[in-house]
Amino acid sequence: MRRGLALVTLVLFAVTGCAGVPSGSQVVGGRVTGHRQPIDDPYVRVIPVGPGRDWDPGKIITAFQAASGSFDGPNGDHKVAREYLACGGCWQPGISTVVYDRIEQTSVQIGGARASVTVEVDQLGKIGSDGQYIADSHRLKVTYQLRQDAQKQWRISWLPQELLLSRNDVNRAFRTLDLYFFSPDRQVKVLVPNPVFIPMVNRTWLSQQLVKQLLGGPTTWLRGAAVRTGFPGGTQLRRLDISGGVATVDLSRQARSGDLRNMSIQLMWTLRQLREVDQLKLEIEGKPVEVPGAGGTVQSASVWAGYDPDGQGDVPRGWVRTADGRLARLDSSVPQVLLPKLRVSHPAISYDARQVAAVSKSGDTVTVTDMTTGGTRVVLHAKLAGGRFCKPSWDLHGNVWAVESNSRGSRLWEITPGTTKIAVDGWTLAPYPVRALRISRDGTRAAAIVQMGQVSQVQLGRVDPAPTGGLQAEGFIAINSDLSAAVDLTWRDADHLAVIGATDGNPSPLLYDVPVGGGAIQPIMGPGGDMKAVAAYPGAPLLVAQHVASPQPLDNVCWLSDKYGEWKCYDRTSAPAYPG
Amino acid sequence: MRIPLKTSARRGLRVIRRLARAALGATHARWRRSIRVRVVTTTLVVSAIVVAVLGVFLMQQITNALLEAKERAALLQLDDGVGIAQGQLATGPSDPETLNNVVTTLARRSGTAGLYEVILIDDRDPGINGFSSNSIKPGSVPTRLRLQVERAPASTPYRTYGRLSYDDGTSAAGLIVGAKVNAYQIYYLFPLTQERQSLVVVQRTLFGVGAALMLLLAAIASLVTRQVVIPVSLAAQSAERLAAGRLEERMKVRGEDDLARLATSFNDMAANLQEKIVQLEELSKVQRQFVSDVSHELRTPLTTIRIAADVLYEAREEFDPLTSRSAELLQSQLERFEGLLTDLLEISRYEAGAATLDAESIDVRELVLRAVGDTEGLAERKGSKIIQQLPGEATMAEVDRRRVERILRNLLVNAVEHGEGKDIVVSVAADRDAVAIAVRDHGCGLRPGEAHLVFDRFWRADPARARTTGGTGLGLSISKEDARLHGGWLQAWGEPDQGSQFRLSLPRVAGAELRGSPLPLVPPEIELRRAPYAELKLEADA
Repeated sequence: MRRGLALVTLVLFAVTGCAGVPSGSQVVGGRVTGHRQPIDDPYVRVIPVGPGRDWDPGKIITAFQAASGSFDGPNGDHKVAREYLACGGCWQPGISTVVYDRIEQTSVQIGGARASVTVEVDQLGKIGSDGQYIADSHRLKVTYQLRQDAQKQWRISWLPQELLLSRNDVNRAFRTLDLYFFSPDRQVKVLVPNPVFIPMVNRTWLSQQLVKQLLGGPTTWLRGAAVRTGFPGGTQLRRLDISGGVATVDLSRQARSGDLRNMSIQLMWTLRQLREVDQLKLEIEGKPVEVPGAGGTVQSASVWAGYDPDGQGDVPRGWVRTADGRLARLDSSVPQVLLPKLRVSHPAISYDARQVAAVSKSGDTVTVTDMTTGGTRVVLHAKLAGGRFCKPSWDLHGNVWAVESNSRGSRLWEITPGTTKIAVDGWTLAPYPVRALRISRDGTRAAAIVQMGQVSQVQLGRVDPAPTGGLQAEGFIAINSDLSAAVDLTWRDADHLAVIGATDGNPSPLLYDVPVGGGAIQPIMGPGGDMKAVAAYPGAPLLVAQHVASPQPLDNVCWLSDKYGEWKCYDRTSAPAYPG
Repeated sequence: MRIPLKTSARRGLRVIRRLARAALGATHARWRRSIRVRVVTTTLVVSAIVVAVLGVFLMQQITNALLEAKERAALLQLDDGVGIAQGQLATGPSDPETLNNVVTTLARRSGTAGLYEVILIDDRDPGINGFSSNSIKPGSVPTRLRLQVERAPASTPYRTYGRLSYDDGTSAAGLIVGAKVNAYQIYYLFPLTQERQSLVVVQRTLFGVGAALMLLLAAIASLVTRQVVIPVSLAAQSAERLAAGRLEERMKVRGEDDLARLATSFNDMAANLQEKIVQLEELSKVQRQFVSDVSHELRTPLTTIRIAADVLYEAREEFDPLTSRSAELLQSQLERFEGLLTDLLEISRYEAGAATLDAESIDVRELVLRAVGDTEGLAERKGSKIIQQLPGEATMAEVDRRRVERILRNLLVNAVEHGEGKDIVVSVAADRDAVAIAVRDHGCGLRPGEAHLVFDRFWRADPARARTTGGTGLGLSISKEDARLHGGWLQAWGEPDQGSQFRLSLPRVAGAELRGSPLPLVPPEIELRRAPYAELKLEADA
């Protein structure tokens, strides 16, 4: 009987084993929630090795540069690369990182037990100690001093304090992440992303470094834009623990005096870039705190979704200029002309979609038209000799920004809703012609295409209060060294630009996605033809104006609904625009 | 302070030990007494062994299957990766950038779940030994595998199990597969965390199922045993009642199974037994009736003969000596015959269950005196003297005067007969519940084992010896029955050449149970002499 039971058990096991895999079921939908950063991709590290026996100075330098691309050791302090040094502590590569494109050893001089190796690099830019990238393309010469140690092995005795990394090393070893701060405007709470480069030592280190940098405040460059932070000065990170999608952030006692909501919003938006974070638990001195409006101590990302730096709500319609110069809205397959009498060129739509700013056909006046009444008024005339306006730009407060350029320089104008025009002082780009200027949605940053000699460069400036009381645009920095002939740009979202431009390697203009933080640019498959202008709005299809030469000359505005979609065009239209 | 603590601890320990022993004893007792406990325990033990063996076997099979599947999948993944790497490395120059891209591509194919990590080993560039994905430490590739892959021809995969260590200090068991591509070695490192979790789940399930199965089997065994044990204990009950004399006891027959057969055969047996016993009873009743009838029938002619014999005996002076001797013989044998007949009648009365106790409160000493008076003449003739040891005060007991007198007379006659002319001691003693009368002679005594035989009917110590006295051979037997009717004992003791002693113990209240006797069965002088020198005597005998 007992044996029978054992047999039954065996059969039972076998049967349940067979029945474990379903051969049919209901259809279930589901998608993995998307994240905008490629942070959830696996990262790759080099495996550094120490110096070999009896290597000559040239090889030592080459090997050292290769090994220093690895952020190994507990705090990413290049443990293996230090084996090449005669003195381990005399190198502090935390100061800044030089990003180069090409490297060349130009001379190796050996004299007895000492040697010097000179390398020349094509520098692309620098990453500051705060993680801010500034494009700065030039040729750099660096000399390393070496000496032989007791075992007759060459070791580096003097070297530049900066870390020299190739573009590929940076792409591999750094991650571009945003720190979020509030715009200076106290009426509307808008988050401003502050992109920084953080070395990918490991995932834990990365997340901790991210929060530490957030607590430390914005980068030196953005600090000038007077962004605000919710963290009181001196607030330290006591502990960061990420498990099960919940990031527990334990702050020091200074945080008690801060606004819990603001701190939570900043932390949540900063941390949610990490794939592993969905929820936030804020603690001060080890005690969980309940944040008003967050519903308990554990806050989910959706609580603060209203503070999306890309804005919320309905995706606005796009606008185009028809062949006869009228403004049309892209409601359906055929653009709808709303104001038949209005003739515009380079239209810019206000955020409330009630006004349109445009440049006259000759390009020397800026007009603002109220679209409900149809009333048009001229707000600005060119002041420079031969000055021409480029497409104006609106900000969230209804101000119109317009740049007037001639071949020798430029001026920036700001038109507040009360029609008073202000020539903005402290316009640091005054010596250069400016081909395009777009103010970011949060109103703290301005992206511009600046003609510097033969090169038209993409630069990012900040908008901040001028000493005179108004606003000024200054502190322009180059964000990319690759784009040498930019044609037009627009904000895709809070930290990405869409730029039509050409690179040194590829002279015909293409559409690029350019992160404002200085990360690698990515080409976007364009509609083809000769691309003239681009318009974008977060969540809305990208609009690109193309000129096709054959079979007959034609201007079209084409749109791309999503990343993997197909470009579709509205024939005989140009000058695409979204609010902004 | 320490000592009380110690003692209290010791006391506690003792209590615990006692409790444990009691529990053990109780368990042992249950184990011995209950079939059910034994069967259930055995089932539990055996099923535990079966389940354990089965569990280990299943676990092994599942582990093997899981790991085999993992290995196959790992080798396929590696094959795939090697193909991709070969494709990418074939087109461009293999600078670090290309290798980096290869590793990135391969690692990206691992998916966000981190199915595996990739390590690409490249020995040729100074400063760099290759690339690794995520936080895996390059040391996770065991040297034995590296040596094997280095030596092997390109694209031949090898695999081994090892520990994967990560930058954050954690480590996990893993499967490592590797192959050579051009001058590089590619390793895929699969953490076996998922498999381990699955195995833990399976193991837990097996434990749970095994325990449930064991309990289930024990419950089944308990149920089944119950079905068997209950009829068996009913049968035992019936058998006990039957043994106690309730011959009409029968078992219930239910169904047609083995137990029904047991009940049927038990009932058959009981019926046969009852029949035989009834037959025997009837037979013995007939016999008893016959003996009684014969005794009665013999009485009348015997009286006639007796009268005639008396006449002859009275006139014996007138006969010639030979005839006179015959008349005397006739007279004495007739007396003996009469006694025998009386005894036979008495016995048949006992056997017929017709004997009744006619109890009255009497001073036992008086009975003794009378019995001694009756036998003193006989004793004098034999040269014996009867010594009496009677208590000073009256020794009252509820007894049947006639029967006790008969017992005493029998005992005294017996003592005189076997006393060889030596003194006979009659002693009486009493306590709260009982009285005892002992008759001691100093004759040839009894051989070992004869103490019980003396009460058998017609038993003689020496069968060859002639019946010199008037004993019928039934006296002691009747006396024993008389004593038993009182609820008392009649016991004999004797040793060769030490004489013998008969002790009659009677309860003071008729019908009360007798618990002990106020007099020892073995005479005190024998007991005293024997005890200290018993060993010596034994040695002397040897």
